Amino acid sequence: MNIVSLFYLAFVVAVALVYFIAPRRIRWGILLGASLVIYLYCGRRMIVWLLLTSLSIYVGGLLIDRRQKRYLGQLEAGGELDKNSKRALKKKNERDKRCYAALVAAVNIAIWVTFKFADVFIETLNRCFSADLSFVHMALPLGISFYTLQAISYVIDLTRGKCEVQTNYFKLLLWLCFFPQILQGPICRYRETAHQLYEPHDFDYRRVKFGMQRMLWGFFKKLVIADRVVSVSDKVFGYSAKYQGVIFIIGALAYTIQIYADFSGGMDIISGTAEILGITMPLNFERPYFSRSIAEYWRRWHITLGTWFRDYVFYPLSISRASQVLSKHCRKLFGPGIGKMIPTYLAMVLVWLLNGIWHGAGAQFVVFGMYQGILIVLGMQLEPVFQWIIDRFRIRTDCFSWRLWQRVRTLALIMGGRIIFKAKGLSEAGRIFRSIFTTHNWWALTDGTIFKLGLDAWELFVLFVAVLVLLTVSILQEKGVHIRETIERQNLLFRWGLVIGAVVAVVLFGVYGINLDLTGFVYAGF
Amino acid sequence: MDELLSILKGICPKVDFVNEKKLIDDGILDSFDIISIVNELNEHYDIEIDVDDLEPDNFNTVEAMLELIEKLRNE
Repeated sequence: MNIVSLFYLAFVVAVALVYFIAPRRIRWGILLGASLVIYLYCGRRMIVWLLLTSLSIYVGGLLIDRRQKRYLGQLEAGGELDKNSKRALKKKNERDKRCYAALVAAVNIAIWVTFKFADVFIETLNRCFSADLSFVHMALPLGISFYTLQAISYVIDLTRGKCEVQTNYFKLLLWLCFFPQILQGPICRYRETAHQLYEPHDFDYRRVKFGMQRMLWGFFKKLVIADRVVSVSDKVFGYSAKYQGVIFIIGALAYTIQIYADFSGGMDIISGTAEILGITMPLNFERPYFSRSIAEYWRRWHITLGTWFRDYVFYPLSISRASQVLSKHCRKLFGPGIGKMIPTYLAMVLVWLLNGIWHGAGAQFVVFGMYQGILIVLGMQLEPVFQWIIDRFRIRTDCFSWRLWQRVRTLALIMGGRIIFKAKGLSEAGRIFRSIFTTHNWWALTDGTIFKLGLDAWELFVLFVAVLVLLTVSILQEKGVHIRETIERQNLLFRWGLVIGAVVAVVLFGVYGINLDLTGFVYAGF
Repeated sequence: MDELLSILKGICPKVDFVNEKKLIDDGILDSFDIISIVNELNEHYDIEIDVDDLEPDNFNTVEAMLELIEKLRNE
């Protein structure tokens, strides 16, 4: 289902109405019903896989909880156990719980890998063994890449004692498939969102108003910016053989704007929908293009995916016993400085490898992930060199121009990643990079070529104004201004003028203003 | 406390560990800093900080880190 459709809007209104009218004790059931309706509408038979995943974490959760209770009983019955016995009991308990969690994770990863990589495996087999196996072209179950990670986080958090077990299967199913969030995230943690889904929320005018405003902002980003600029990025990367040099920089910039407006716009619609119903979704974007380093960028882009990899892959790997042993060896071999960091860097490279694979099957996504990882490691390792340059040339770092330079540099590196992501394969990405560095066709910026990249002068003007609005709002937010609260404090005429103006802008310039087809969300495809 | 402060200063010299009270919540320490601190503390105090202990509450202040070290030493 496209969340920028009228059908979705009507569905949200209907769900909200029923939710607020229904008796308080069954309101969570309304949310579950709505979520299952959406899932059946979009995925039909694919719901089997969602049910399987939810069942696996339900059973896994009960087993983990039972084991924990047994351990606590043993401690109580043991009375005055000595330190070593207590430690042994704790270790066994931890090991058993982790086994259950690992089993659940393995089942779910296997399902996800099968759906996501079946054709890649077949292609590899055909290539390696000159076989002629036909592709299966399996459609992905709706939201599988998101809910699989969410499901794994539940059982791991249970083993770590960071959340309570859910003994009601249907409540757990609701947490996994809550309807706006199942479409493209954010990847929620059980302890942060589950209780909000189960608690009944009453109608609150201010909250509903804020939710609708956030949805409107999301529609603006998606319909006015993303769905407009997509013409440029699709044309440049889709017909890349026709273009050279600076045109690829324009294409990369267009795609960089598109993917942000698309994904964060989608998040605004999803979070706004949840807000109407009284549920706060975790933050997924924090103005990432204002980042001053790649590491900072990834702390502000798709935050819930980044923190998932940090908490469930990077941390466990980095402080594992194996990592500590490796660290000791590396320090002997390479010295205390770099030697100590090697295991951490290896863990990080693995995280980025997995991050790339999560985005898609194929070498180009692996390279995309590795590109980010290598940039972060290089940034850290070369910090003393950068500091030396700053000191040597007496560069001022406490001024606007320095911060601007850092942001422009980071944005350029991000655009490099986008080229790898968007190009038709790795070799094409390589050709694009070569062309950017070797072809100096700067005149293409002034000879009218840019008006032939999918948008005419008027469309480019509308896009420019829309991006300027987005930039202004982002700068204000960056300075700590709460936009919706600020609007709320204004006079009635101004408030309504602004809202009506925004609706008109979305309707005129987004949906009906030009002959563009509504396009799906980029991240809904993952 | 002084011993811990000198370890922390050795890892993140630019951070004001004495006065900052939200080292994690305010993003002053990133995940690399956390890992470096954990590995250093494990080695120095001969403790085993588990992944379960990697909670913001345990690393937001020097006092919280000290409390965690004491707890793990007594286990």
